[in-house]
Amino acid sequence: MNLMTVLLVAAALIGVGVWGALAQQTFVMLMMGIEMMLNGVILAVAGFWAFTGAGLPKGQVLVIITMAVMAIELAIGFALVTAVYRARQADMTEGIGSLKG
Amino acid sequence: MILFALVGVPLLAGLVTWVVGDRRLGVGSIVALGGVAGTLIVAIAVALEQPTHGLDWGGGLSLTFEVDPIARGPLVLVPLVALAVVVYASSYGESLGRARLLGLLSIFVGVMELLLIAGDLLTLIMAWELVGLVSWALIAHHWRGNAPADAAHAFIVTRAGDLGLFISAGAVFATSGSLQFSGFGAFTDGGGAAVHVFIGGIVFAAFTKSAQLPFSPWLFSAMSGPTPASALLHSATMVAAGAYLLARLQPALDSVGWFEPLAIGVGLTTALAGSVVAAVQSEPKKLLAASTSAQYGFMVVAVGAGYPGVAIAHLIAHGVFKALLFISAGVAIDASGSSRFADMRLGRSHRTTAALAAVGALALAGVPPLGGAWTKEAVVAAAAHESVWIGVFVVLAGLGSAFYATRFQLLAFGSRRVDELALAADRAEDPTGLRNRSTTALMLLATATIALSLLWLPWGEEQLLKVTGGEFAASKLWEFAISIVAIVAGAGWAFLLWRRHRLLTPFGSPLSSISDWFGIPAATKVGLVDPVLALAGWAARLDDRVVDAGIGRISDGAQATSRLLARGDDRIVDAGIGRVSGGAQATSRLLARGDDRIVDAGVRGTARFAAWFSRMLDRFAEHGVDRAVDGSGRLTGALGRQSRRIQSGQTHQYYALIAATSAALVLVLVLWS
Amino acid sequence: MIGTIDVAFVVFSVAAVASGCGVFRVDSMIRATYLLLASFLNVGAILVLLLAEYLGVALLFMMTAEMIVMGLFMVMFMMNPAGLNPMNMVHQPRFAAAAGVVAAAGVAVVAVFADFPDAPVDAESDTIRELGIELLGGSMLVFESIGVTLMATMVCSVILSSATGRFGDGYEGSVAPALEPGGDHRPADDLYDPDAAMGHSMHGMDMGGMDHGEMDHGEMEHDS
Repeated sequence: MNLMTVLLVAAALIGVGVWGALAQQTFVMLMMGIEMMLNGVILAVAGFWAFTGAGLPKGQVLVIITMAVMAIELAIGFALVTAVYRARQADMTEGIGSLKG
Repeated sequence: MILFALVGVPLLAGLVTWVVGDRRLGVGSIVALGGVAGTLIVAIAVALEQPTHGLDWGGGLSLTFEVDPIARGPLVLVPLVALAVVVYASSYGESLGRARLLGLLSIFVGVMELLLIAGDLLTLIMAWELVGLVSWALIAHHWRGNAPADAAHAFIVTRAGDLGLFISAGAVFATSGSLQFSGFGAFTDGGGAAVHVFIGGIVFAAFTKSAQLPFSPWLFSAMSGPTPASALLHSATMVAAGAYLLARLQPALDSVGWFEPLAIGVGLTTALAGSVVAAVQSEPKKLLAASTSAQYGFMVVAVGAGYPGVAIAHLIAHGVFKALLFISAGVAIDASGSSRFADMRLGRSHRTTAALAAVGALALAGVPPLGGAWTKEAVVAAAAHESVWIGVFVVLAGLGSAFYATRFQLLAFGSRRVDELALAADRAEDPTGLRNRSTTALMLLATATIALSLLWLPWGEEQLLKVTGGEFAASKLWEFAISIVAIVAGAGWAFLLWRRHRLLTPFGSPLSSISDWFGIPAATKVGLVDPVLALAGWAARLDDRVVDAGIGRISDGAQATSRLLARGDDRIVDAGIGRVSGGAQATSRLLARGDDRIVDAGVRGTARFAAWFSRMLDRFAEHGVDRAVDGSGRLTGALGRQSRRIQSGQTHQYYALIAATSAALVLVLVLWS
Repeated sequence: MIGTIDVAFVVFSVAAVASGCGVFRVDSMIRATYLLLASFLNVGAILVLLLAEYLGVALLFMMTAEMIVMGLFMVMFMMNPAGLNPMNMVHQPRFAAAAGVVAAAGVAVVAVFADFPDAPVDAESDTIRELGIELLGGSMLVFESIGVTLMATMVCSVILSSATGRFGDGYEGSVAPALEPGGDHRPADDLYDPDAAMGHSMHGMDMGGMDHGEMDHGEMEHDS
């Protein structure tokens, strides 16, 4: 277990997240893709802190900030999904297309 | 001298058998049998004496033949197994082509002995390639149906692995100038990139030959060959070449840090994956092929852990019982008329075969006190000596092998339900003495398997230590205990499924991607074969178009030039004659009308020139400018219309655009700084 | 020598990536949620292995609660929560796969080829205590800002998802106004289906064209 392997795992998670976010049709699965990407980012930041940070506590603060960002994104995302559904009855990304020009 | 006899006797016997042909099969069989038996005697003598010999080939290359202590066991194993297989093959299948089969088997014995006595990389490469060639000829023996394509598949995969040997030879020759095995120790101690290349090549070649992941699917293709070939080559001897090479060169290979984890990782993964694949097979030969890969995985783990002697011991034990199982599978296939488990269960009609096969199955499962169990325990000890976790995983693979060994025995030779006994009795015909010959072969191998049980005695362990020349790791009691528990668990689970009539499909409906090595062949086809074929087709088309076009143009040009020359020639000659004759008249007319003509022509010419100039201006200048302006306008309009398409209103396409642009941005930033 | 930590790391990371892939492959939505949870739990375990124990355990707790909430939303919004019908709802699959591979390759290239300084965390130091002192000391501003942001998020999400909108009931007040005065209240391609809005079937197409300011809210029977 060294920095390279941890970052490779984080790269795999980020790749899976990008794939999921771009390929899924429903909003909820899209958000799951974004969650996976943030998962990879958390792992990478923690890996950097463990191997190149020399135990500096500010590294851990960065991870806490990222976790908070995850929670905020989830909450606002679901509120928006609910609002969009109420307005347009759309639960898939193809359902809202009024920007088409 | 005796080394030449070792290689030459089986080669000669094989050639004679092949040449004598199908009309005098009796003579051919005796020659082949005699040749292999003679080889066995010579091999025992060579193993005891350990002679060496060298041949100077010129150009700084020389061939060395020596008998390393670790090669003594395999040297005797090959003709021993071959003896039983030739006995079985002498009445196997149809008589058309059987002479070639026996001949090739004998030739193979000679070439394999050459591989085992190779003392330098050049001899090894020659023997390695020849072994692959004989394997191809044997797999495609029937030359019908799938056999040629499967033989090509197996040959191509192993040949690709041989590239590794070539690269290694190049690396070591360029750096140290010699290919001798004895010099590899000093070479690898030196370090550097050449050492990594050398070791990588050898490991690659060994893994493809021994059907480790991800090269395992070729062994399945090899099962299209006749059963004697599978019994000799693809269980006991040819695939053993890879493990033998790793064990032989283990001290040199261990000098890089990545060899050990790679060998242990690949060997362990193959052992575990092979067990899973073997557990879901519906044909006995494929189950045994997957089992072969898994068992060679054990040997690779032992080499990786630093105990080549253990690997060779397991190689010897495995060779004997795997050939036994293959021959029994061949008998089962022949007796039931089909190659699928669903049509077998010949326990009651073939009691002797079933009992002898049970000996092999017990050895495969690792049940003490058989020899196969002792060597497997030695592998577990070696692995656990490296790290406890690896030992645990090896025991887990042992559970798998107990499961599929029991599965093989029960599905092929279990007793039928009562209502199916009548069908079995009908099918249990005995064609032309096959039973007796195969029983002889089976008995020979079963005796050898049981004889290896002597390893459990301290005297036997001493003899093995002397024969293989390696050392064994001390085995701890808890390893033995959990091994036994694993074997009981594996066999018990198989029995349980057998009772519930679910042994044929232990995990529900047959999962084709698992049974086909987890989809590796399909992935290879999509990722490797199809692009290469597409590239070849593209290159062929490119070649056609460019070459054809070039030649066509050249020929057109030549034709046009010749036509031009002909016209020019005609015109010049005709014009010359015409002019000469009319020149005189014209001159007089011209002189008469000279002044007026000149004046008129001058005026008209000026007018014409002016008109032509304005037309040209109109066509090229105004027209051209108009068209340019129009064109740019249309282009702008088209661009505008096309850029509207980006606004699709679909969120996912916007995201895709963001992702692509971010990637491009990152690329630009990275390259710019 | 291969230690227990390495084996554990390999097992956790393989499980994290495998369950991450499985999230987008399974048919049942609840299983996708739990596979995402499994991925997070494995990453949390890896964080514990990296000696960031507090972060790992906090991740475990937080993600468990988040996934429960997400499960609720799955059941609300998705058409196949139990996975009884096999379905494959993807668009632009090949581009997405290529983009995923490119993203992973980009990070992997950095991981393999970049030259990182070597300053591993000291195994004996008390990282949790240092984190606590840092959070309530030097990074107090960050901590407080996160708190305020979370509160803003809570308020925001309640507002966004409340049923009573700015100009009336959520279903009707969030409707886009007409493109031309006196025309339909929406472009033709996204007229909303009145029957889909339960309990509000009286808000039919006759609303189109009416000036919203003249509506008498007292006539509406809706729960305010």
